Amino acid sequence: MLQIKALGKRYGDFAALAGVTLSVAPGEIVSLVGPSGCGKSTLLRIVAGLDRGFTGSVTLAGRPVTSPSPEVGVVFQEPRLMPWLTVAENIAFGVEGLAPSATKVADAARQVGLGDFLTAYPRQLSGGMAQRCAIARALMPKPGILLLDEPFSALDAFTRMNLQDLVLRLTQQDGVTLLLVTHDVDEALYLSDRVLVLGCAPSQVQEEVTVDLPHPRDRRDGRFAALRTRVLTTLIDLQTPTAS
Amino acid sequence: MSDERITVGARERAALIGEADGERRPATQLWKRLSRLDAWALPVAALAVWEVLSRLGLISPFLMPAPSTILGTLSDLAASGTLMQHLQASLVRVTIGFLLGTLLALPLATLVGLSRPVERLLDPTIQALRSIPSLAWVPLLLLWMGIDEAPKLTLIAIGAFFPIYMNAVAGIRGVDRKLVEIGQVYRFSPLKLARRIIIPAALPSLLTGLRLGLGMSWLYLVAAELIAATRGIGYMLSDGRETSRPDIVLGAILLLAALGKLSDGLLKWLEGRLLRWRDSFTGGDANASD
Repeated sequence: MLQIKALGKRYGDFAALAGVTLSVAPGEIVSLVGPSGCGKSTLLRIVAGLDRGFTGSVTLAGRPVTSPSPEVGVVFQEPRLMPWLTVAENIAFGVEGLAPSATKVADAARQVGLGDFLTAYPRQLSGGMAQRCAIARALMPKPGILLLDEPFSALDAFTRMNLQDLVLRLTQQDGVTLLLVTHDVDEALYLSDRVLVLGCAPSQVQEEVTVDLPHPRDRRDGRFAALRTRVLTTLIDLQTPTAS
Repeated sequence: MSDERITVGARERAALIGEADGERRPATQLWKRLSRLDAWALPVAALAVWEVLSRLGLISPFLMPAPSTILGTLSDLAASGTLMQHLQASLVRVTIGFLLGTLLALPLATLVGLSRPVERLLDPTIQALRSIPSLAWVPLLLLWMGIDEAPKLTLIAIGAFFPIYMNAVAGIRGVDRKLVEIGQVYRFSPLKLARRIIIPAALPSLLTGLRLGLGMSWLYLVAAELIAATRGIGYMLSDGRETSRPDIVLGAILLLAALGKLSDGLLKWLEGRLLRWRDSFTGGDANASD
């Protein structure tokens, strides 16, 4: 589905990404974790077609990525809803040209639990509801891959767990590929088939952890805990100067 | 007198609560109704004091006639039909001048706001023109266009143009880049990006510009009518001065206050309707209990 080879990106003298190579299979769920400022979000923006001027190659379903594509859905850390549009209008925002039927939009709203809020404005929504709306909007054009940039980091723990399940449910039924950037190791392990730990200076994949646990996963499970220890160890090693 | 204890925020509060609390107890209802009148308290009180001082002979009627005298003059003018002519002349001028300014400012501001090359091309010139006090145009306009309607409308349009242009450009440049990115994710064309994201997001600032522009329109209307006119509220002002009729001058001033407030209220109402979605500070109110 997604092939990234020797991806590099510089902002002036600062190398945000220095030769990252990774691939994501169709239907796979992959998480990127790592210290702040190591280019995780930059990588996601490049895949989304929002950042240009990189080196290396990024191909999506065989085609090089140069600009945003309808194959790619994006959920950002902030809901980024249009405050002057209702929930229904926001959900339909990306597919306006296709004139989605009202029932289709209402269905999408119901699937994210906003069926009773079609005519509400974003200011009337809680943070979790707003992010649900953003997820519905991102999935509306039926993307093959959904990119999530720390999508739940601004939410409380309980809401976060709900939304993690929601995203899994909505994407697994259509076999949507997920690429998730997160700071939350538990979130990465709970959702992903593979967790990639991205290191800093140079920004490269330092460790790859395959999560071979069936869904739904139990965060209290012993094997889950062992994987968490492994990812955390890598992260802590990356933080300490002796590691490099 | 309960009028005097009413606080300034109460009217906004009543407007905010709206019909939502229809089933409140009668005492609150009465308070709410009184609250809506709080904006009138100050002007009514001032007029009353003025009237009393005039009647007591403490203010010279040749400098400052009593409100009742002014009202009498205005109603005489209304009865003879001249008041209507003045009002009509001024309203038509303000409307056309303001619309001309708006029609010029909004498209230019949109182009400058959306495109850096257009900004580099046009904005320095527009800023240079802005630094010319608008009244400096008057002699030139009179030379070019005579003393007919054209120079008046042009002056009003110039006055309205700059606040509308400035606020619209600032509004467009103040749009959250994160929202624009959503449009990029969905591959919006530049036109669609402007129509669906940038203009709606810039609307609050755009409407502020329109309100300021309308205020400017009234300012330059008076300037234009004071200089050369045979009708209009500005003409009433100069006519009153020339014939030593302070009651006419003051009547014209009161009319300007009323018309300015009314026209601004119209735009404010429009603003309220168009920006209902907005989630922003609506003003503190010590009485607010909900």
